[in-house]
Amino acid sequence: MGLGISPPRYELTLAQGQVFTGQITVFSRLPDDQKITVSRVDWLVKPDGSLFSLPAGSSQFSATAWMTVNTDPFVVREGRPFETKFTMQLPETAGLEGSYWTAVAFTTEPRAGTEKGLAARFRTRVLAIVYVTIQGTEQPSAELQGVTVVTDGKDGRRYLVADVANTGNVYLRLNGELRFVNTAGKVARRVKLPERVLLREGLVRYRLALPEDLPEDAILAQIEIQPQGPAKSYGGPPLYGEVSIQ
Amino acid sequence: MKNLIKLLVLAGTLLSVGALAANKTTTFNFIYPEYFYFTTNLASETFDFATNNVGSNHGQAATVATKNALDTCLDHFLANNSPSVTANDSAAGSSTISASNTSQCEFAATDTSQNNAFSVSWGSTGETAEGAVLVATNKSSWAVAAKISSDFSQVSSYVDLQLKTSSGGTFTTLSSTATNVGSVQTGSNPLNNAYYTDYMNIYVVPLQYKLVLTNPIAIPEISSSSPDTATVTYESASP
Repeated sequence: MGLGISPPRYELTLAQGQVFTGQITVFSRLPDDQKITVSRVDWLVKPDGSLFSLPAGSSQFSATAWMTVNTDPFVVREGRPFETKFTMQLPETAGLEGSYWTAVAFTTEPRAGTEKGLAARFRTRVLAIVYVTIQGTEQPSAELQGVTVVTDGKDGRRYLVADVANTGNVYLRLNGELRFVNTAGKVARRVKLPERVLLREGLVRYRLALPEDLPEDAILAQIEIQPQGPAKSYGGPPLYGEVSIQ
Repeated sequence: MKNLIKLLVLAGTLLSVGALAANKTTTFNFIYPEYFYFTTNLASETFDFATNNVGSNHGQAATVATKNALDTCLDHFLANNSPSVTANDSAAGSSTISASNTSQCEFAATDTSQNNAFSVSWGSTGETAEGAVLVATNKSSWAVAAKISSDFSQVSSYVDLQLKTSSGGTFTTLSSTATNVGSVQTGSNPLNNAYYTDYMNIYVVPLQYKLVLTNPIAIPEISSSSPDTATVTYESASP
C-alpha cells in the first residue's frame, strides 16, 4: 500500500472573503488498483515532531469548515494518477486573524492476508496540508526556552534539549544550527538542524544527541534558530541560546 | 555508520526508478516538482495461536506466537504467579480465575504479508526488521505516525499491539492516539541517527511488531477460521 501526492502542501495567504481553488494530484507506483477514500481532517503536530489527525473541525485553528473537496472514492495505480480539486473560501467573519490549517486525507484500504487467530492489517493515509493565513493580520513571534543538557538514563548519552514556543498568531518554519565552541572560543563543529514546523500556540522540542566524537576541548553548545512565517513574514532576529557541555 | 539504515533492495514499486542504482545522490525521479510519496511493504501480521507450523521467526519478540508457545506462557504464568482462584458467586454457574498481577507474555508474528518487494536492514545489530515504511519527498519536513483505527473486537482488553522503530529501541503500545513512527532527519547528521538512507530524498523506518498478552488467563479462545483483526493506520504528511 502506498500513494503519493503533489503538491504535499499549500501555504495560502488570503483576504477575508477571497476564494482559492487548488489541485492535488494523487498517484501510485504500485501496479495494482488501489481504492482511495477522501476525507477532510484537522491535524496537529506534537512537540516531538509527530503528526496526528483529528476529526474535522475539532481543533482550535481549524480551516476545515472553509474547505470543500469532492470526497467520492477513486482508484489509482501506476501510470494512472487522479487529480482532485479543493476550494478554500475564507468567511467574512469578524475577528479572524493569523493562521489556520486543515488537510485533505487520502486513505488506502487494508488488504486481507491469510490471517488466522489474531492479525494486524495496515493501511496508509497521506495528508495534503493546507495552511491559510488571513492577509494583513500576521503577527509572527517565537521564544526559545530552557536550553539544557540532560543525560538519558537508558543509553547514557547526553542530549541538548531546547523548546521553542510560538507566541504569535501564525505558524512558523524553524531552521537553524547547533554549534560547539572550544576553549579557544572557536567553533569546533556545526550541525544543521532539521526543519520543524511550529504551529500557532504550539511548541517544538529539540532533543539533540551530542555527537560522541566531539573534540575534547568543546565546552559550549550554541543553538541558533531562524523562524520563518507565511510569506516570509518573520522579520525578527534569530533565536539564540547556549549551554555549557562540560 | 551506527544505525545508518541502508536501503538494500529496491524492487517492486521502486523498479521504475532506474536512475537509483547509478547514482545514489540522484533524486527519486518523480515527475512532479513537489512530491510526497509514502508506502509500506507490510500488509499484515498474523499472530496465530492455532498452529505450530511456522516459518522463520519474524522479529525479535520473546517467541513466535504458536499454540505451544501460548501453552508455555500459560503454564509459566500459572506456575510462577500463583493466581488466586475464587468462585464467582455473583454469576451463578460460572467461575473465574483472577490474576492478581500484571504478568504478561510476548509474541512475535507467525506470518507476515508483504505487498512491496523492498527490504531494509538494521545494519549489523543482529536484529531483524519485519517491514518498513518508506517516505520519498523533496520537501524539507515529513512525519509519520501510527494509530489503531479499528481494534481487535474480541480480545482488545487482553492484548496490546506494540511497535518498535529503531534497533535497540523499545516497543510502544499502539492505541487510537497517534504514536510517532518517524520524522525528518538530515543527511549524515549524527544528532539524529535514523530515518535517512544513502539515497537522496528517501527515508526508511524499519518496523517490528509484537503482541503482548496482558492477561493471558482471561483471553478468550479465537477461532482459527475467523480471525480477529486490528487495523493500523499510518498517517503521513509534509506539514
